[in-house]
Amino acid sequence: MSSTFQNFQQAKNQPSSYQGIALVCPVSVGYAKQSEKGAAYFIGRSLGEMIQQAGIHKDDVDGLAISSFSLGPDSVISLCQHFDISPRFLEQLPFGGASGVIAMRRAARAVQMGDADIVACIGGDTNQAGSFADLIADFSTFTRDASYPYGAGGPNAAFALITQHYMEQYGATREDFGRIAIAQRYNANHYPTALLGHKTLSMDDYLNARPIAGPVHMFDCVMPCAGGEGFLMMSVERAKFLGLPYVTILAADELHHAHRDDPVQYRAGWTLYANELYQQANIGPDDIDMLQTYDDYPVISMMQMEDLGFCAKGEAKHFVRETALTFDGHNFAYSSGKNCLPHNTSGGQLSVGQAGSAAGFLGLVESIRQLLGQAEKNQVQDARHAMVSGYGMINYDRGLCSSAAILASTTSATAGGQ
Amino acid sequence: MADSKLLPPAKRTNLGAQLKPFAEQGELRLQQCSSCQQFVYPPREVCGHCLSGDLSWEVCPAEGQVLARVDLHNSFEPFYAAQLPWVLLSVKLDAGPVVYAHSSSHSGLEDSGSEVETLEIEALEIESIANSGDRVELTLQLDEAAAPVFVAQPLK
Repeated sequence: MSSTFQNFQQAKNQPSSYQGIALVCPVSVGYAKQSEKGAAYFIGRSLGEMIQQAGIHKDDVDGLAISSFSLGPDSVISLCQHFDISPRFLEQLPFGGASGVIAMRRAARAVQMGDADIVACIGGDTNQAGSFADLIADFSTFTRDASYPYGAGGPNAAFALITQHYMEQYGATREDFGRIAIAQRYNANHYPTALLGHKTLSMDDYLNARPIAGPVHMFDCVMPCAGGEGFLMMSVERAKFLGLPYVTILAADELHHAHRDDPVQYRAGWTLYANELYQQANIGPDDIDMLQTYDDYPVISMMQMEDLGFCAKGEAKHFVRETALTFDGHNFAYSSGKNCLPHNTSGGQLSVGQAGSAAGFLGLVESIRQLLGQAEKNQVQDARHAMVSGYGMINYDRGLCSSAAILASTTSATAGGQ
Repeated sequence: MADSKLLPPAKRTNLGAQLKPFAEQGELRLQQCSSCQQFVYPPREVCGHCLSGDLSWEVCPAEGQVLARVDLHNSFEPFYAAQLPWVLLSVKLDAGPVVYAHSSSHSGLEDSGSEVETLEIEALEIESIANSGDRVELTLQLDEAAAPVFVAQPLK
């Protein structure tokens, strides 16, 4: 690599401001353990609910940013004919758990630059009998050759290896992972859409669950399901004109396949832009009122707590022992409750269900709902700032994508930060 | 014990299938870049170091270190589901790549006749399962579906 190029890298620009962008009308639609409906149902019904909330016509939506694993052979362009719309901005984001924040970033630039006025950002997937098994059997060329033949079907085995390594390296225990899962279940008990929200989860339940792979047991794994998640993006002026309450983006970034020389994943791209996010938002981790991590497995949530600056690398075990992670600060006997940070306030994928790519929108949509004060029984009080992070795409032995954003309420007297 | 009709998944990409003749000969070969000499894995179209398209299957140094070991208690594949728990190892080869591998402790289990015999073999072989940090030697073999797989054997 030439030194000239290294100089360019050091001089790398930061993302410019997301000022003037409004996030409105968060929806979570059609959650079901299985469905005979196709992905277009969950995407189309999300769009339908959003325009109804916004009081606009479908033709007012001139941009679509879509993420789905199960839409094939159709794509976002097929949806134009299916929904009978004529958008001038199309984006499809095959980035699984990172797709929500990435869709938001793409759509925000389109609105800022005048390529679209109103973009519908939607993740939607169905879950039909056998469809999850089909997806994991042929997830990528690397998995087909190098992991699936070894019995490592699906992400469980890859994450079991990552979890095992993390535990050996940093001394985190299954109880620590349990602290995350149980707090999320408590949150889900207050969020009716959560598919597992009608069940409680105790530490005994967690520890005695069926083993899946290595240290990964039943309640470390998400339940694949069907559903849609979405929101509308437009200018602040337009949101005000339409009389829609909105949330703003203080900072957002993404970085993929970072730390690629780490033999086993124990961090992801967040470490390389978290500081810049806080700088751009002009706040610090202490000012974050809720954290929505991508919780495909609890160990990944712990990596996000570390890499996004809530604690040092390897210290998430202490963080979860000392922090009430529930939406209302409820503390369980197994945590000291010294601190409080509402985490995955809808229950996360672990308790809501993993609706394919919609799971990559789950924390983002929940954050918008919370910051608008539109959450119901699980509303976080006086929430001004949310950190949302995304992660995903286990192409072989690690998740490749990372994304994160800091969002702000505009309804609270203390909102802002810029 | 596996049902005789059950086989491990044999599907590979066109590139992955090219390992088969080397597995038949018991040679550990991986793609090596003729431009930068790096070994790469999983099988790919261009070198992940220098993007050269000139990759060829060359004999690779077989030693490496176990990064992590887990016992699978669940598998979507009936072949594995019938013989759980199944040991899965991730190995960092000294030559560079990270490789998922079977444990050598699994070899031969399917040939044993009686349950008692199986248990004895399992008891003997438990000691030979590598763990994280252990040095191992990797071999390329054909599995029950005559598809190429890597197997890791602890070094004494």
